[in-house]
Amino acid sequence: MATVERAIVEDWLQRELDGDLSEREQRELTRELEDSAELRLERRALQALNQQLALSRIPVSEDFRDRVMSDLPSAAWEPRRTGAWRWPVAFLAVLVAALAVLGRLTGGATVETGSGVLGAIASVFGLVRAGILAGTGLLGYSWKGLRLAFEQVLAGSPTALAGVVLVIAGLNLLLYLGLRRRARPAAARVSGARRGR
Amino acid sequence: MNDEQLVAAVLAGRQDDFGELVRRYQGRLVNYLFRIVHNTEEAHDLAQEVFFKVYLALDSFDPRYRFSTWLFRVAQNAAIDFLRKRRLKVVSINRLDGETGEPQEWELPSPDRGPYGDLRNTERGGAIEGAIEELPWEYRELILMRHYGELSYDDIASLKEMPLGTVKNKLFRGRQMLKQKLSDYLTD
Repeated sequence: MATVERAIVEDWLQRELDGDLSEREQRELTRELEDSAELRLERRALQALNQQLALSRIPVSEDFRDRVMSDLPSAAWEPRRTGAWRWPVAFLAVLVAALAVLGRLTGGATVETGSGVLGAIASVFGLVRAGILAGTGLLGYSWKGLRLAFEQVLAGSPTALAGVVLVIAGLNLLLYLGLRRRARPAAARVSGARRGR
Repeated sequence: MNDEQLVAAVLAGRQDDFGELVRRYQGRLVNYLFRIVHNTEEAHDLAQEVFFKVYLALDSFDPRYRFSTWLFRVAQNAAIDFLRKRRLKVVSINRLDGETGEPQEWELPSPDRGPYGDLRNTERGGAIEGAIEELPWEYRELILMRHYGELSYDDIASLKEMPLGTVKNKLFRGRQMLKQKLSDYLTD
């Protein structure tokens, strides 16, 4: 005797064609099929339809793959250099460490906030902050802020100035490497030639 | 290697691995396109063009998605463009032939009778083709994707940006329509 709603069983019959049934659903469907000749007929018709659709497929020409491959640009994709970012980062790390040591040596036992690496970072931060302010429309304040930031950098130790320059150069290098596009394969040829006509 | 790994390998410079992707999808793609353009040679040409486009755009493939979905999306767009161009061509020829200058019906060229036509020359093959043709497009495209493109429910849902339930409903409804149209051939 049927125990499952007819609509659900019909859904199972369709999904069975696609191999989408769970083991439990398949078991229950088998049970329902045992009880209903009508369902068995429905299943046979669906399976026959599936088979007919499969039989109506056309063969692919034997040289198709070769045609596609010979059509591709002769230059392969440039290999991705997955570790390309490591060198700039390592360079920056060494640079920062070197500047820290240098700042400590030139600044004596105590490192002032306005000198050495900390000073350089603070100055860069000041520049960025001033730039953001300029972007928000607070022109008067930002110009003043920029001037103060530059004064701070220029008045600081030579190490701070060098630090700012190197940090900015390093950031630019990273930006360049990040944005650089890989070379694309050669441009498409005329489609008529591509199709071998 | 799965499809996404093959794509990564091609991008790493191993062009031959693209051949494996072609091998995996050529049958599905050619058959899917054939059911839309109704011409074996044009289906092959279009499939070749699709693989070429896909290769050139390989770096824009997002590996979070399935390669098959992306490939068939490109194929679907290519087929639509192709049909649009062909319709324009047919209309312009009709208008040249017409004496009245009245707009003529937009007839697509009849299916070819090329070297692969034997299968379809049988009564049953013709009936299947006719039954699929008569389906409303919303059902027909899902039937083509599932039975000729061999895409999964999930792939179709992703490709058509439809809920999974809608995909199943439309696909099942399309099959029921086909079953009714082909009832004479399915009771052997």
